[in-house]
Amino acid sequence: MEDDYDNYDKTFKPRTNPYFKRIKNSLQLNLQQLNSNFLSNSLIAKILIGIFTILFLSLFTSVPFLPHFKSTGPKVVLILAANEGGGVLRWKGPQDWSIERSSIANKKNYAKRHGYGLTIKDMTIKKRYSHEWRESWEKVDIMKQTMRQFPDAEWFWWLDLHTYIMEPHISLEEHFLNNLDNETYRNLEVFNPLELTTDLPYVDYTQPVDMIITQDCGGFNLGSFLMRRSSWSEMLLDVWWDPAMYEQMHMKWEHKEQDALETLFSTSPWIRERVGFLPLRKINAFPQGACSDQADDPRYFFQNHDFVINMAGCEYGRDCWGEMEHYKALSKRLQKPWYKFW
Amino acid sequence: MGKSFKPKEKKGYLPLPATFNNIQLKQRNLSLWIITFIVIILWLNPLGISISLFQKSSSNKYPEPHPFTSPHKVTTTSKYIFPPVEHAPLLKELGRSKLVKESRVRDANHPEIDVSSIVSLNAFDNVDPSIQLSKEKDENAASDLSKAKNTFKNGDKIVYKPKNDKNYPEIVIVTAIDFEKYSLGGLTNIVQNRIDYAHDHNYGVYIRWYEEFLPWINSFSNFDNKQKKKWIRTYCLRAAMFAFPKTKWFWYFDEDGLIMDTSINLKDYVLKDDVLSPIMLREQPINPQNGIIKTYKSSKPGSVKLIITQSNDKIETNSFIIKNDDVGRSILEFWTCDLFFEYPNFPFGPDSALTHILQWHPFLLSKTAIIPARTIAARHSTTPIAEGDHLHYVKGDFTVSWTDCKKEQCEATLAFYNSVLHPASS
Repeated sequence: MEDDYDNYDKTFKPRTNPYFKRIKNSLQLNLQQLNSNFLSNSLIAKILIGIFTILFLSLFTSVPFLPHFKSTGPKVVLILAANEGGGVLRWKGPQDWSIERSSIANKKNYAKRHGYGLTIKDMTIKKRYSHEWRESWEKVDIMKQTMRQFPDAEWFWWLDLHTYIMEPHISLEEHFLNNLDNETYRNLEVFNPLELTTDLPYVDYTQPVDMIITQDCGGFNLGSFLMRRSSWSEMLLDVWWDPAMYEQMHMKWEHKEQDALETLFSTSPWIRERVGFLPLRKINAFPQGACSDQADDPRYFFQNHDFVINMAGCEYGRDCWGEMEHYKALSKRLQKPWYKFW
Repeated sequence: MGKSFKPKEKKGYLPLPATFNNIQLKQRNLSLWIITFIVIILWLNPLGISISLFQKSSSNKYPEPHPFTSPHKVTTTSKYIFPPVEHAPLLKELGRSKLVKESRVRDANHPEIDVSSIVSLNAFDNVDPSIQLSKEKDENAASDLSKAKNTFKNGDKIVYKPKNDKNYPEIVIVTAIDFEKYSLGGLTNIVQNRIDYAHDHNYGVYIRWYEEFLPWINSFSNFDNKQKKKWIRTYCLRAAMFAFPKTKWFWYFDEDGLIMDTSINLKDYVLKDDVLSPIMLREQPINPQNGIIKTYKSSKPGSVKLIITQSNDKIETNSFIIKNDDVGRSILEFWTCDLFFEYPNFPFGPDSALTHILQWHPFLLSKTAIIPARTIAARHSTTPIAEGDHLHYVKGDFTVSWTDCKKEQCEATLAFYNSVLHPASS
């Protein structure tokens, strides 16, 4: 009967694989042997049942007093802010779509290569972030949301859409995370484009770094920054936007959360204690064209083999798509192994 | 098993030497040794050592934390830090203008606004603290007034540094006192009351002059504004956290109040988890008059960093407790942010700011507990107390406060409660 069914070829059906059949048969045979030989021996049976119970509890539950071999989620999560504006105020043309595709593919490959998490967040214009309705900073909300979404991750790396990871083989750990104290600078005596006060009372620099940002020619740059999960970051994300502060400062805070952070940084020891700065080119190199007032300062601009390029401000009078294509091609060229000639 | 192919046995041309197997054995031993050696070398990771040699091994040097008005600290081994109260008449004689440096600036953009900026005299210290010290020594010997002035300005630098941490106070009582408000006798009673209490329970005391914080609030007119002056409570508390870095809890208790029952141990009375849990007011409106935002129903006493009380109308900050850990400090520093100090829509200064913070920031609200006023902030009442009053002082309460007093009243109220405390001396 069964054979008849197998030979009946007028319907679509999964192909039976004789190889698997064979394995199944041999397994059954083994099981039978097991039944006859071992399971009759009640001691071994009990031990086996015990082991399986423990394995089950360890793998699929979270009962206490047992080691759990669960694969934990990624330790680093990339947040990519995509669909900026969402085509609400401006037509989203084919070039915009192309940029988005390139940027997303780039981050996807990078995350996959190093086992990081990646979440792509929609930055469509929303009423609750418009001035009259302002409920929070959008970046802050997305950060909080991602921290909830990846409860095991430690570091969260925010990337704007117009960024491109040029050296995808470098992991964040080897790049700077494993050597944070030496890679970052904590007080602004080294580099201080905003001329903020370098010295605040009570600041204790022995605290760990919980936030890693860069400074460009105009001050703090949040186009590419990292935050570590901690009670400190939870508090910063909670107080970053405050209506009383916003009411007093909204005329001055052109760059929204970026300026708000600068204000907090320049007055509050608790913020200053846990912010570490990286040189711009480390995670956020600029193309020629950004920071055009200081075009001869090598600290800002991309040089071959810098880690990330951020085409900051390309939507204001520059050609985003052209720049993206240029750096995409450049990265491909730079990453080409020496033994490949074409 | 049919035929098996194997080489035909041949008698060797030469017999093997008798020690042949020994040699092999030795060789095998040798290779075992070599493998072990390599494994150990790899395990020790010489490459890592050389890499770390090439890396910049010295970590960055950052400046030490320093007090508000000076880059230097002065350490003391006494856990009772308070200004010499006997200087009060001298300081009064000197007046504010001689104790700090005020400069008036006119902003080019707003010429009609007269901006004043106040700098502590510490700013004019010699860079070398030892030269400054000897200079002050000479001045102090010359006149009592300079001595009072120098002691006044140095108050900010004092931090507690015991020989060992065995007796480090777990709780420190913080008070700001104003020599313009109370007489020498009144000030003495206030300070003595705190020290007596701290002494009984092995706590610390941190007392500063209100006037020492003039550089922080930056103008004399702010100082004369009762609500703006309240901010000094938070600044004084921040300075206390700097002076006692390892203390667990700080209790800010304003000058307009006395601890009436010195036998009560604050830790057992409020701070322990099993004690705090039942007295935390849950689902209590932050603003008692229009309670839209309320404290959380399920907040745990273990996560509380800030303990406050309310009057019938609002949050009060004349007596509150804050935890000295990173979150507690962050809460205090966020609260003392300049933008809140300057915000014109906070009619009650820090009280309004805190109300605002708790209503807008759920993280901070979840770390805050509101407890009944009579636990640490019972009010003095001029009228007889009604049945079921939760606010006013009744004999047996821990503390009494008279924050709303007018100038002479304050002194009189203080004298009255002091005579209740020490019947023999009056």
